[in-house]
Amino acid sequence: MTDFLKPYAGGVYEGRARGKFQLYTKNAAPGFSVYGEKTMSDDNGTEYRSWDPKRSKLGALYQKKLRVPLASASRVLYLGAANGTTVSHVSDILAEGGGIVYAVEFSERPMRDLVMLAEKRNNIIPIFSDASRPELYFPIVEPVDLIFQDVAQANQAEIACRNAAYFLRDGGHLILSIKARSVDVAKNPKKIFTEEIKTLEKNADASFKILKTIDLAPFHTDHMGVIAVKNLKE
Amino acid sequence: MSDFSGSEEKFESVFSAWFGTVAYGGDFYLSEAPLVSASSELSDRLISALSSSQNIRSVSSFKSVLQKKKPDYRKQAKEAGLADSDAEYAAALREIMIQTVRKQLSASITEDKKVISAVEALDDLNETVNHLTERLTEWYGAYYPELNLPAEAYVRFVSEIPESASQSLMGAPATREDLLLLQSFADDILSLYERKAAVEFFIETKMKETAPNLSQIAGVVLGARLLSMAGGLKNLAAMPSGSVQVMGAEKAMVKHLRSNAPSPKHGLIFSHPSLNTAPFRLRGKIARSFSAAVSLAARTDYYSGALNPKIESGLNDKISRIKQAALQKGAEK
Repeated sequence: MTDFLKPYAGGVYEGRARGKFQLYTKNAAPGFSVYGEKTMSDDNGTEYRSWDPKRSKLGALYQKKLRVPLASASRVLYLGAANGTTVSHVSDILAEGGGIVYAVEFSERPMRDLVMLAEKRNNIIPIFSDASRPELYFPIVEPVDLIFQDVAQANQAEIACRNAAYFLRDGGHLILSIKARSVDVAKNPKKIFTEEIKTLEKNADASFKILKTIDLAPFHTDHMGVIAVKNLKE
Repeated sequence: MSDFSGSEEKFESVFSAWFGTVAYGGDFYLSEAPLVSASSELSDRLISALSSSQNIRSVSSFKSVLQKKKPDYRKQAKEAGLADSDAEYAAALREIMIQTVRKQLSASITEDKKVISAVEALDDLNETVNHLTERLTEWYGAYYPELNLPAEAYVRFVSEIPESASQSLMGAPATREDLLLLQSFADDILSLYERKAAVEFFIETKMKETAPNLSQIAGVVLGARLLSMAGGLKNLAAMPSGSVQVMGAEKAMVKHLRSNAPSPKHGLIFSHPSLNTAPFRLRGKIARSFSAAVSLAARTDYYSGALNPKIESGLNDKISRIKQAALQKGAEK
């Protein structure tokens, strides 16, 4: 069994499971495990859910000790929400400070799971739409502090910029997980990463200052995590 | 009730937000009485208003404005008395979005999606049935090795008259108990054969309804597999025919892109008789014409839905011309 937990980053806790370092978030819907992850309770009966960095790009960023610009009061736009594995942890973090997450997903199979997750948690707004067309869900989403994007499409950086133009407040952050295999199966991942970063820095819709880039190996292969801040308009 | 999609004359500056109509004049403001009352009617209106091309155009026209100013829906909703607190705003939006998405999801299961589920079930059934039939032949073979029947007939035989095993000269002596077990095992497999036929019938009728042209060109099962791989009729219609040609040969395709391996000539479509009976040298050419016809058929099915016999006759002409040309070339040599 795990021993005590201590705060790791805003809303994220660290502990040990079977002698190994393990991240946790405070379960916002106690009694429910979202994707079969292990839960544990502390002495006060508060439930925590373990966060597997291999199943979540955001979890991997935390585990790699990066300063993740996600606060518990943040308003978050999450593109490529899939089944809600990572969204559920974001929801846990936001539940501690009244934040809200807009979860966009385009595929109906994972969306079914996501709606059921949103029914159990009061800070997830599900949106069944194409992340590359922000004008479709502009009438739903308010300006946000953070855009997290994990979509498997070829023009990942461009999609991020387009969404930032519509939703990201000045000085807001972007966390982007670039999957090289989705951009081009044949190209060298390093080359792809450089090109995508260039798009982020110089795009007509919104430009970013890159704060940190990191290879997500060994948790995810051929993936790069990017943390960036939107340039202020002078 | 007022018109949710906004007034026509102020088109450039007005759009529907989830809680009502928002206008722009130097800043964004709520221009029309909000309509929030968590009713199912509201989510219907929301779905049609948000997806209307007028609203999309209107929203897109704000793109340059958004660099400087973004609408504060939360503040607008609070001022209009829709929500008193952040929590109330989130609760109202969440409720309506959950309802909206539920409706969108139930509408997203179109007929082609049903065919896809059925053809995937058919593949599973085929695999299971073959596996179990093989097991039965192996097992019953111990009692009656002389019995030589095709798969389904074999299963039917065992389910009906297993006692005939006693006629065998080579087989092990069978007790009543052994035979009863084998008979019920065969009964189960037989019911799977029946299920398979029912699924095939379902695919055939559904395919002819939803994709008549594709069914005619590729045949119902191959057509359904193509739909399944593409993810739906819409996706297949939007796909370049070069992709259709190599769909199902991704491994070879990636190998070709990465190294100097030859490109695959065909993927899934190879299971069609016009390809797998064609001479080896002509398969690439025929595959190209065939996949072009498949694309054309999928597009006709998606956009018109009516059967167009010209696609098939065009393809047949093309194939016979390819074969003719090859014959002439052969004769010249």
